[in-house]
Amino acid sequence: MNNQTYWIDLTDLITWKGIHTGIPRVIYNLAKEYAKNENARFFYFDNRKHKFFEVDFTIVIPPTPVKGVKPKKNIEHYRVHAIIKAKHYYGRAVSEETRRKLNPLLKPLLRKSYLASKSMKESFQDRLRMPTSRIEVSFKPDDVIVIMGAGWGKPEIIPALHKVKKLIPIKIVHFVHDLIPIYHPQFFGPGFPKAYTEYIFDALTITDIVITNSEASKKDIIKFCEEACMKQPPIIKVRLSDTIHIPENVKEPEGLDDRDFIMTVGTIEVRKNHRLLYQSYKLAKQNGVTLPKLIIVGRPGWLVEDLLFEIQNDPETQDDIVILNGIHDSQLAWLYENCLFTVYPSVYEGWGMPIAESLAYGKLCIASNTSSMTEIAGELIDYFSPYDPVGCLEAIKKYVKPDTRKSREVAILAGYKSQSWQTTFKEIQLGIENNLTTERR
Amino acid sequence: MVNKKVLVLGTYPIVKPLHGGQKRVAAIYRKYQQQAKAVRYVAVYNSVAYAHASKNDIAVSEETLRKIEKSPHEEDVLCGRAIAEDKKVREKIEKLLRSFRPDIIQVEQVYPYLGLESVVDNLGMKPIIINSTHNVEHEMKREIYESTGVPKERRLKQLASIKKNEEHLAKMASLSIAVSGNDAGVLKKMGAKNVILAPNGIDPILPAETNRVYWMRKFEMLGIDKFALFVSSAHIPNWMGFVKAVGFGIGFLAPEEKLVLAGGIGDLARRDTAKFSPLHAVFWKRAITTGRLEEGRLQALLSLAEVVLLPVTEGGGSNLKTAEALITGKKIVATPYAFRAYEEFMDYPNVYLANDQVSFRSALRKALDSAPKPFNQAQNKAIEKVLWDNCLQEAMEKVATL
Repeated sequence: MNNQTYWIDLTDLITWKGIHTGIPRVIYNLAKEYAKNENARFFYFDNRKHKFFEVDFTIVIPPTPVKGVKPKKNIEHYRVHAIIKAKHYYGRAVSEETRRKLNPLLKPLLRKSYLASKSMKESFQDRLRMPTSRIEVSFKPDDVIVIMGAGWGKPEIIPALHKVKKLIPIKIVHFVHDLIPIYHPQFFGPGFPKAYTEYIFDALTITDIVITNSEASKKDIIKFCEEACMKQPPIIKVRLSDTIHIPENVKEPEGLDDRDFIMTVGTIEVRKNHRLLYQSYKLAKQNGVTLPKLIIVGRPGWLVEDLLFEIQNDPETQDDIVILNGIHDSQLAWLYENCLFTVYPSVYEGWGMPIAESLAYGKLCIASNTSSMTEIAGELIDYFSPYDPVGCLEAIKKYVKPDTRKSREVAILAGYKSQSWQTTFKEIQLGIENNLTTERR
Repeated sequence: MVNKKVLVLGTYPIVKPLHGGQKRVAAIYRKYQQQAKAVRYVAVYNSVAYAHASKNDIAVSEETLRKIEKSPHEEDVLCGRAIAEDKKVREKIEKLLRSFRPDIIQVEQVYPYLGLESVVDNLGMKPIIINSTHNVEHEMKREIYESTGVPKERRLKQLASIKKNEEHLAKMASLSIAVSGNDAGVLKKMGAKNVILAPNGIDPILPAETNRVYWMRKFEMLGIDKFALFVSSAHIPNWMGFVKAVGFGIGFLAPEEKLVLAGGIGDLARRDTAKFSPLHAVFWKRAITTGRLEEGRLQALLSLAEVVLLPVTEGGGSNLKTAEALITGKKIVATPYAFRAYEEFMDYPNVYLANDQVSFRSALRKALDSAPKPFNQAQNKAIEKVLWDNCLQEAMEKVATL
């Protein structure tokens, strides 16, 4: 790293609940690499105060859980929770019966009070996760600000950075993971694609260097800049690491039987296209084909309520499809090690981390033939159309056979080059430094 | 001097003029007030669309309103016909004609004549008819009907009827007033014997300080340093012109720069961008609307604009906005078409002409980044031609000879 100060945004990680997956995993691992350098510093953005506060990287390191010991909570924690509960129940204290008797004019008031208390609770919860640091960041000329997270959750960060940039010549580097909500709004709830587009537009307006994870995402960013008639910042394409943290104790998740299984990993949301797998399994039943069990690893996301209901209540496939939620790294490692192979039927991706992870475990992944997914392993794996359940079923059937599967695994072992977070970090830094040097010239 | 009594008939009131047609008629009326023996302006109008009217104006009956509601694009045709067919309107017009006994009846656009002709005939009156055009109506209506999806058969029938009436009026009228050279040519082809050109003009722009302060505060609050202004009513061809010339890709504007859509055009913009598209989302990050504005606020807004946009790609007549922009000395980014009737000002300082989206956007960027250049003395003198007083003078002199 050169001598400039690099400010790494940790806002997302600080307010993140649970295991690091997807974008938080990328931020955490790259921030960890930055933390090894003396001129890297860390901050979070307080979107209420519109200010940046310095924090230490150690604040986002997940505590190592010790069996049987619950994490300690300090007195402040209980105090804040008491306030939250009081505020929350204030709005709900009126029973249904009393509400019916109320003057209709009072009802909207009551509703407002309930919503206000709910939002206050969420805001308090967010603040609880905020560190107590009040050392305001004082950016200096040529400082590099690196944002790798999902800034659209706190879009105020962009105008705040713009304000700083107008006064101090800082450089802004933004990791854009994908533009899926912009070009495939059908996969998201109403309102989100617009908010996301606005965020990306604002961010690209003030960004000096864009980092992205695939040629497909890079193409989308170029397309967006062209369509919006905006100046396109330099775009650095890097390969994300596929190394996963393999814990010492690899542990079998509960509730599995001895049947062979294949697996798909990722949030259960409409874009990930779990329906295709369900349809392929239905087709197999119709044709009298016996398939291994399908394990879906992922938390239920959005626009999939109907699908989940179907999967959980279909007597024909009930025993063949299992959904596992809240899986820890130790369990995921066991699943990767013990599955026959993995399937990734997503319609569109910015990268497609589960494909790379599967290959890093030496396991074949058959995947969709769209967007970035073909960039990860090229000809080492097979692809199918995400709109073709027959094609997907044929690919599954092909690799259920041990011989075909084994030959692919040998090829993967010989040909697939796994990438570390260190290398990804180096690619990013090289890109940033080259661009900054070119600019200076 | 026009030593005659003049009745001016239109299909909209001019008490608080907002759109171009209202402004033109209001200027004509003022000119007659200065130069005619006596003048009355009467609008036969849709009271739902116009909140402000004078006591002389005649609102159409409920029955006509219902017809307008069914085919809103025919509002002016229905108001014009109401002069003969709407009992309430007809009685009032007859009463007015009997009491005022005009020597000249000037119809603003062809529509009032649709009903007026039979009423005048029945009363046995023989006033001088002046055909005061604003556009070649059947051509302009074609664009509107096509864009609003009027069924083809109905559209063709209505357009043919408007064209027939325009031709009839052109032949019947003792004088036809055209807005542009092109319109004058069309009128002559239609058989008009006496055609005079009276381009659209404007009133001097003298914004009140209170109005300027209002906008300055508002823009400060919104973090806007400079803005490009597009003023237009909710006239569909104007919106289509904007989309064609500028489009939604305005991401080249900086966060502190905005495109301000003033007037009814903002409603059309909102309507056409209601459905999510990335470009629509980007557009509204750099565009704001002001809604419909009264003249004082509009003049103040114009006086504060960095650049005025005139993305006119179709339509007849001339463009009042061009004249307004010219008189302020503002930087103008326009299609050459927007300068019809003002061709002599095309090479003035601060005028950036562009024919397509790419050159229009790059002209806008250039205009925003450049300092305005002052006019020389001769240019300042020449530009006064765009004031209403000068635009209408020749027509008034012609009317005096009738």
